[in-house]
Amino acid sequence: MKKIKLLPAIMTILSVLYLIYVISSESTTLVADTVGGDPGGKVIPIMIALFLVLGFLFITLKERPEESKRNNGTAFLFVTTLILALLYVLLTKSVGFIILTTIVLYSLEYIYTTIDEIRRPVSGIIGGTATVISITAFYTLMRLITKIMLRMGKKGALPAIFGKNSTIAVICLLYIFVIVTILELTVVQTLKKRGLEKEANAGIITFAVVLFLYVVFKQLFLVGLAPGLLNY
Amino acid sequence: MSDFLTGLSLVAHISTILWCAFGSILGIVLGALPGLTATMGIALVIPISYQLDTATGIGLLLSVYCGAVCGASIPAILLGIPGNPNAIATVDDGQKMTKKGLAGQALGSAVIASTIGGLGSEIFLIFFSPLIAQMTLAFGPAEKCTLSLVGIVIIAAVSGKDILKGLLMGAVGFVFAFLGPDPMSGAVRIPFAALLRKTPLSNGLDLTSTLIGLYGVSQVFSELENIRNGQRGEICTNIGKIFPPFRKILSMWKIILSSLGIGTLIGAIPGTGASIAVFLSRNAAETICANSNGKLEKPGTGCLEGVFAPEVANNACTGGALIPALSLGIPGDSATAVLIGALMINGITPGFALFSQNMPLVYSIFITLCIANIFMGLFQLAGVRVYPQILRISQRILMPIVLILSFIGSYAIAGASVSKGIFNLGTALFMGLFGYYMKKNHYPIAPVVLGLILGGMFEEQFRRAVKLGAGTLSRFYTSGICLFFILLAVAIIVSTTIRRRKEKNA
Amino acid sequence: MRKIITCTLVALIAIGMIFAQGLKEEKASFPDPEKTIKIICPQGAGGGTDTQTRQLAEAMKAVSGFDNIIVENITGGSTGIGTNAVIDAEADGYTLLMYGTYVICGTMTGNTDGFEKLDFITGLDLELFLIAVKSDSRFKSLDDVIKHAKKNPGKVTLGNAGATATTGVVAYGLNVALDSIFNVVSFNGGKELIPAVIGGHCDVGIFSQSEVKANIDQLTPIAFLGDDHSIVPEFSNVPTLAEAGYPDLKVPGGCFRGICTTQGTPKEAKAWLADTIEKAFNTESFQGWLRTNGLLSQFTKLDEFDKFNDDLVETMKPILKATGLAKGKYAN
Repeated sequence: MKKIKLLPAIMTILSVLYLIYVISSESTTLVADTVGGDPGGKVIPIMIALFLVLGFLFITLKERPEESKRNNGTAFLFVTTLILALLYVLLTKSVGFIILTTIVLYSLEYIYTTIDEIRRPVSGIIGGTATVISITAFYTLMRLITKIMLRMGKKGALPAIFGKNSTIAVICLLYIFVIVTILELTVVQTLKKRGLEKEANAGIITFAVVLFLYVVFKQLFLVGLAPGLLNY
Repeated sequence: MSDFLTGLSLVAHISTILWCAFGSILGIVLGALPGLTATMGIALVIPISYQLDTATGIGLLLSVYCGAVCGASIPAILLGIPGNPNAIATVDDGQKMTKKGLAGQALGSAVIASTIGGLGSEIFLIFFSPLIAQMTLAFGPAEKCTLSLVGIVIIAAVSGKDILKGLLMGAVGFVFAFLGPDPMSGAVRIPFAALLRKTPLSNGLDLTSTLIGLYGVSQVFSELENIRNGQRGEICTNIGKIFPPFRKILSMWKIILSSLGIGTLIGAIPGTGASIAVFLSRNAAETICANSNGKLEKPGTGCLEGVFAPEVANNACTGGALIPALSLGIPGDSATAVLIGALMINGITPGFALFSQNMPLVYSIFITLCIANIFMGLFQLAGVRVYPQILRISQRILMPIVLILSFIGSYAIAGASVSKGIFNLGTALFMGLFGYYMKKNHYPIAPVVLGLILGGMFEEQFRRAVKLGAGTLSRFYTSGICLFFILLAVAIIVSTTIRRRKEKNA
Repeated sequence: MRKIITCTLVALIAIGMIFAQGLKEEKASFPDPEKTIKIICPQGAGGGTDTQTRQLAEAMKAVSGFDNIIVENITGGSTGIGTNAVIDAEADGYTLLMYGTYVICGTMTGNTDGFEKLDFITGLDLELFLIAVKSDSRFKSLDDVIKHAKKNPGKVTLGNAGATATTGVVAYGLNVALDSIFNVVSFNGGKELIPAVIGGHCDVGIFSQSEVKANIDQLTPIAFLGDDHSIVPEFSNVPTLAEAGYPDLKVPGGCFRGICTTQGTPKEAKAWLADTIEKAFNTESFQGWLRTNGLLSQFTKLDEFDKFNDDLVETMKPILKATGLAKGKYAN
């Protein structure tokens, strides 16, 4: 028995399954469309499915697999990334954008940057927790500023321009810039001196990216990001 | 002439210039971020335009529109992730140029090409609008159906080494499109209908999430190997020249003209879109280069020609899409649709009446479009030295951010619906894995995205054409345009197969 | 050093919790200035429904001073996807639906739970349709078209903007009433129907008045589907179905539109919305827009609108059943 390539074989099977599905599915044509001869919703899908079956079968029979090599380290990275991505998809609604993005982004940054060295899981986890807590705190403060400004803008205590979303978004961007700079110069520098460079870098990058994306997408472009746990 | 002067006086305010500048920058940002679209940007600035003078407001909207089309080339060239479908054809050569260390020149020529495309199509818009509008009327369902066939064949031919694999990937994209509802009756066609019929999946796979998944998420998985080995395939610290040599641009005049024509015409046909135009023009460029006696390089090898052709075409589509919008009141794409809505909110009903009754306003639209195109070029050019800095960041740090950006982009496109957002995230992840395995096995992924766009159009227009022909294929064989397109598709398949054979044997 | 970090963190947590508590307790009255009201338009951008939605959103901003009102087009599934997005949204009054006859069609065709799972805020207006042919068509009147179609059944193509769009229901309704003499062809919205009719690919089309108005040189209206003449000056002479010689043809003449929200929305929010929309509806700009586009006001509020909708549903039932579009309980 000759070896066959896996991918075209799987695609052939999937195409056959799709063909069977299309042929066996109900007609989707309207009763009222019988006048004039609507060809129906199956003709084109069947033609395409037949083409897929034949094409992939041809490739399956023609091509032979080449030696593939993959080292264990990449497999570990692949699985970790996949699991984190899956968690992101599944938990976005319940955990919410801010916290979940922080966790996933920090983990990926930390794991990718420490690939060449022996990891210290404890300091990694502590770093992650600290990042989540500080993002939550500064996010909450930012939201408080937003709320106060909106209210004052509405009451007329501030010029009306401060009651506008886009103005507030710009102010929030400045706020993030200032906080990130301060953190970078104080906490991050101190941590780096103590040999916790990777944790500090992952933390500050996550901090800046998460809050920046939040302001750009939610406050500037009014995209409804999932609030999740931080539902205020 | 007096109409023109009145039109000029409508826009000759400093505020028009400032708002156009603001719109251009906003548009470029929107285009460069995956998941944010020109349509969204226009919708966002409508409230502002409502408060401005009509002409200024329209200028703002047009600036956002042009900027977004142009901005999409930045991530396409630097990261291989197109900001939106308009930039898919730019990815190939753009990425190859970046890897050669020519990122600056790739970005610079993309801007110049976009500006040429935008301004060139405006000339068509101003002088040949009624003529082109009449030409597009010849495109009925049968013609659109065969056009989409040509589109998918060309994409299969230009991407990848094996045209069969390209066609198969296109067919996979078609199948993804067929999971959506029956285009004529709206009946659900998704498998496991009992479970899925009320989910967003019953509407088929979301296009933007698929695009982001196939290009963005799969990129992250593909880069894992490089991350592991610590090698950076592309170290490009030297930005180099930004402007391509002027002589080089001149030598490409045939490519520019053909891309301009293709872009304007395809843009003007409602319901087709820039994604066909960019591949058609890239294919045309390939033919032109093959016949240039070696003066021009072949697209696909990482050359200016391969960036110029699609970038001229996609911005030419902006002017093209405005032709039916202004002369017939029919939007050429979804961004112009919002634009028409905005015009109507501003009290203008687009259509032929606009030309006969309010010529000064039409002129002011032309002038602001011109300003918008120039600003688009200037502002994007201003940043060309800055954008490549992103390549200095280590892949280890950049890739997690790319993954998060891909996710937030596909989530954002769902808008108000959280459940649709979650399904979009799932689509992006699934497509990321699918794209990763396909790329690993040397199957091209661009045809999947185009298949998803064109599959729905192909099936829908086919059904409609047959129905109009009372159950027969008469609409196809009685139309010269259809016959031409069918022959073209066959010719492309045959010539590509022969050429690939020769290359193999040589 | 470690102490400093620990202290900072503890302090941050404490501050954060206090803020969070403070923010949660303060219950804002509707609408919260930080939130965004989204009007979901289940139809594509640029069409009549979309334009009206955007017009209304602008008028609402002007009368309420509340700026965060955005329009979002969620299309597909014969308007079912957009409708479902509103049904599944949180019942807080921040997600509204541009409701219309098309949602009734979507409900009866089984694409959404539609009007059964919505709260009714305000009914707005009725957009009436025109039947039109291209200017140099061989058909000069509705009578021409029908007579020709009777002689050659299935040869005259009658275009509409989509099988479950309101013009689609009108087209099928017309065909059922005339013993299926037409070949009804559904297009993907007006943007494809208009060039198809002007370009001669399709013989006759059913359009909204603004679509014909924008192309008045190339399209000739042959019948108006309202009971009285159109209020648009350009179309005031277009004959109604009865005047064209077909008084017995009973088809829905137009598309009704209104605003709905998620079921279970608090009363306070609904009242605010209904009042704001009423004020917006009565602004000069919105009324002017209605007039230029030939829409008829049919304003109703809350319970009135609910009742109005029940009547509308009853009139639609037999038509959908006859066309074979209806599914489930509406098919029997």
